[in-house]
Amino acid sequence: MPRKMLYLVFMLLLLVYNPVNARASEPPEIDVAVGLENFDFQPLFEEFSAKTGIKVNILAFNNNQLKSELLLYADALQLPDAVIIPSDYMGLSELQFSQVPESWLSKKLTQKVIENSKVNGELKGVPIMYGNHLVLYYNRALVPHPITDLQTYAQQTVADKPTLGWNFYEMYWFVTFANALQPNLIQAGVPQLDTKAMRLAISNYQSLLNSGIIDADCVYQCLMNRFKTGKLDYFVNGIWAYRQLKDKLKDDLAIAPLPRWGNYQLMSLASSHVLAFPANGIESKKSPHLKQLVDFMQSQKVQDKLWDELNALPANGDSLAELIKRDDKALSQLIASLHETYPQPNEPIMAYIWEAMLKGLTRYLGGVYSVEETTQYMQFIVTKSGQNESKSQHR
Amino acid sequence: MKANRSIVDEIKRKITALFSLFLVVLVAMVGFSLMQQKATLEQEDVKRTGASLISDFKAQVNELIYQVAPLSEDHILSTLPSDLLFTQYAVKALTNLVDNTDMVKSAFINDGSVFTVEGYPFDTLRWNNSVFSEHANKVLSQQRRTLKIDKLVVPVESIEKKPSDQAKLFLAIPLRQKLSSLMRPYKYTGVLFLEVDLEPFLGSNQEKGSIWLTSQELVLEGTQSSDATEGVYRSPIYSLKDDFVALDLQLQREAEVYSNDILRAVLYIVLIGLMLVVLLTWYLRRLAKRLTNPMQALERHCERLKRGHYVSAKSDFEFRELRTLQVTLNQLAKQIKEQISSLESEKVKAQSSERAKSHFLANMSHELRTPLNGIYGVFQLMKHHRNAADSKELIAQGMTSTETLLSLLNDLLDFSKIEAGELKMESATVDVKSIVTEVKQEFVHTASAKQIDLIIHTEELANPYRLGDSLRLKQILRNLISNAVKFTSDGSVTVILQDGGKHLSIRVIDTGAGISEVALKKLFNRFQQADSSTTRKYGGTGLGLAIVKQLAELMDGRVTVTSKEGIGSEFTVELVLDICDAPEQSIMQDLQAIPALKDKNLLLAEDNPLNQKIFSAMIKPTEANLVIAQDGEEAIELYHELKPDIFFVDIQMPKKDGLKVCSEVREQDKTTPLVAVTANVMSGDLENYQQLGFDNCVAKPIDMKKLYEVINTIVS
Repeated sequence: MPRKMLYLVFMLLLLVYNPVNARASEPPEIDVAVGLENFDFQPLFEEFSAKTGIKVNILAFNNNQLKSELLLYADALQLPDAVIIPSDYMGLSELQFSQVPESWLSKKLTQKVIENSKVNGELKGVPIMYGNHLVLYYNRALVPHPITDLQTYAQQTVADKPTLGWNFYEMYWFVTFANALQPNLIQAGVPQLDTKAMRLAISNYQSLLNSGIIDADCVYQCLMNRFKTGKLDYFVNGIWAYRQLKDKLKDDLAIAPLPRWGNYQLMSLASSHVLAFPANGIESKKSPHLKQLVDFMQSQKVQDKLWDELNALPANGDSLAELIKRDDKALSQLIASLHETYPQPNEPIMAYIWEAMLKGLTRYLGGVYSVEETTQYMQFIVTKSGQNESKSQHR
Repeated sequence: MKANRSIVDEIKRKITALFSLFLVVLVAMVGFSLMQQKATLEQEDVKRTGASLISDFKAQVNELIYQVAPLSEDHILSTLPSDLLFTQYAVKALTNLVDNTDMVKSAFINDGSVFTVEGYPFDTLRWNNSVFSEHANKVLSQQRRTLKIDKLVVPVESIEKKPSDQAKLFLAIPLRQKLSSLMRPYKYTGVLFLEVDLEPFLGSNQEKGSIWLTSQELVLEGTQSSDATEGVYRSPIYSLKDDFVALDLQLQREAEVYSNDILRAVLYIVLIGLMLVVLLTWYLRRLAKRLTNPMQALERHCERLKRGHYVSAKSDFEFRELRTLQVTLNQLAKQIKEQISSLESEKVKAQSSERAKSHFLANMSHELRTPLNGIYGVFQLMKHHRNAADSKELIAQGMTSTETLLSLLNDLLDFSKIEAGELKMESATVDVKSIVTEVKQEFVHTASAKQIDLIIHTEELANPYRLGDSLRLKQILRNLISNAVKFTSDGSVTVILQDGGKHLSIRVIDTGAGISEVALKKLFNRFQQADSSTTRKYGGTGLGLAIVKQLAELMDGRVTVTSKEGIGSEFTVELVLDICDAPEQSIMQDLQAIPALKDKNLLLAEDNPLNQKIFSAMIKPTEANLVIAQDGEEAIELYHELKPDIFFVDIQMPKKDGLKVCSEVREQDKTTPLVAVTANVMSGDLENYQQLGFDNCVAKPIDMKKLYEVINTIVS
């Protein structure tokens, strides 16, 4: 008996001071990288931590920087556990995103949203928000009506200062010109950059630059400040900027669909913001915690308050339907403008297309290449990178 | 007309001019020498600098290669050609590389395609890519196992497609990814081209001259070629053979670099020279001041001497020569001063003597007139008096006056002889006692008249006979006693004779007025009496004591005087006279006795009738036969006719003077005694007469005793 008692005491002490147990008593952590420009997820993650006891370490980057940082550390697989990224990033094979089980998805998602979360037919992310498309903001205190024909406006406006906020070297803005003439940048998995429509889009885009109504050197934050302070009449920006602009301009802020360029309607891309798991994170030990995070972000409660807290359109169909029911003109305008968008392709090659368009456009505007050479160049580098991408995938 | 130049200024000018000339020559020589060295120096320096620059350039390029070589396997850069998603990082990497690497001007990546993968600055994207693609394709096709960074010189013309003679230097760094394959350890993805920026190299060496790099006929961009052909150093940095690229360094140093050095050196020399000139000028000014100040002091001293201030200068001169000059001037001044002092003394003496002579003449006039008046008066009175007794007294007075006059004339004659040093002392037996007695007799009457005693003491005279000149001895005694009697109004005049061997002492002591001390000092000077009042009171020529002094000295003796005013005086004459035996008395008497000349023919040549009568009267007692000729011619005639025993010849005669008569007589006859009778008895006259042939001389006025003595001497 005493030997049994001693054994029990020993076992109890072992349990109390066991280092495994000691580790297990520490709160679990999840590293999540997000893009800064879009939404502030901090309150949601705090709520999640409070609810689940899982600590969320947030790594915030600019969108472009986020992509580069992830790629840079991809080789060593020193990547965060989860990322909230535009859906097109899912095509970056170097990041080795985990295939998400269908069971993890909410049943309330529309098929359009689900399809937008797949890469080559594989579900690579959990859609949280949908939209992210560009709209035309204007200051009612300065101008009564939105621009309907940007080409005419550019040709006719004689202003001593820029009147339109346009984030010129951001290809998300450029692609509206390309989409106006060419609905698909990728056809059957093949990039379509060396096309007549692309050459015309580039020429039109240069016309916009030369018109003087925009200041290409004033980039995102600069444009935000100018529009907020009434120095710009119009501002083309994503729906994610609505909250900030509304807070500043109040009722002077008005929203309109993107204008036409001549006979062609400028078309924005719309995409999801997905919760994805690089370096095959779902297969890691943190999978249960990640599942908890997915469930939390897709929960009805969170989806319902995405607009109120983040001014993001929810991926959840029910939540979106509820928003439509609201008597909010701006919100209705934002949701309505979704119809004037093309879904953003999530193929891996899309990531190269963005870079190729930027490099091509920069070289063209810098006088390095003619418009024909530019599209040839863009096509060349995308193709070359795509080939290497394929090789690496095969390897 | 000569300029008024200063020696010191002249020296100063000359030294400055010489130094300036020396400086100019020195500068010219140094400049010439430096110019000669310039060419050699230029060549050597360019060569050495060029070699140094090549080493430097190579070192810098090698350092750059070492620095950028790791980029060859840079993950981002090597991946970029095959994955454009690395664009942002690649741009950042290229930007950092260009901005932070001194010798990299631009960087771009070529993957062998017609498009430049990426580049910075943006201009590199505009460049013609074909040149670099060619090299990139070559590298990609070679698949080298070892890393080799090539150097390329690419013409700007082919890069920018515009005419240019310039080129750019590139480093071509192969970009590769490491594979696990043994056969192909690397995958070459492209080439990173770095445009070498020459500015740091040129900037750090710009002071070394104009540097430009050439490759064949092309000049590397950033370097400034020169058209100069001289002084250009050219040497290969890289050769096609070893480095697969031809690159030469050319260096040209501007001649100014050397000229400036030379000019600077010459300027330094000139500057130093000018400083030396200034220093020299300053020193010369100082030296001039050091020289001129004492010279001016000497000049002032000379000026004082010129004005007659013969004082000594006592300046403390720095230079020995000037001190010597000052001493000489001082000695000169002293000598002049002494001479002036002496001359002034002589002048005073001369003036005094002049005054004494004037006084003497005045006295003499008085003294001569006094006896003449007596003589003239006597003869006037005798013309009217018939009384014999009265006549006798008058004659006696006339005689006295005549003797006084004669004495005066004798004094003058003697003094003249003494002054001329022509007075010869005779040496014959003299009875001193007798002489004193005779002289006493001359003054007895005078002393008696003044009621003073004239006392002679000869008791202490042991040897009265001496060899001497009785005439001069009498003259001494006569003068002393005459003075004593003259200046003594009462009391006595005592003459004491003493002897001791050859020494004979004659003391004349009176109780007269005495002589003051001042007068005593010049008592024996000629023409001097105690004072002018003495002359007025007592008369006299003032020659007496001077003659006494001269005569005493001629007899190896001396005369001294002691006197007290109001008490009297004592004159002492000490003579050195040999003692001799007493002479025979008869001889002495015969000579002054009337000679017996009966039947003797005497001839007298005399033109003056009065003198003829006097002479006839004096000769009459001798009973001689006297014939008188009226002039010289007659005298010669009568001489031939009479053949006289003695021929008396006056010197000054009409028709033929006595001298001529004498010479004519002596031409024919050497024996006939010729006696000159003349008033020309001044110094030298008697000697002349004797030289001409006269045997003796009788002075006018004729002393009858003297005349008889002469005749007795001739006859005997």
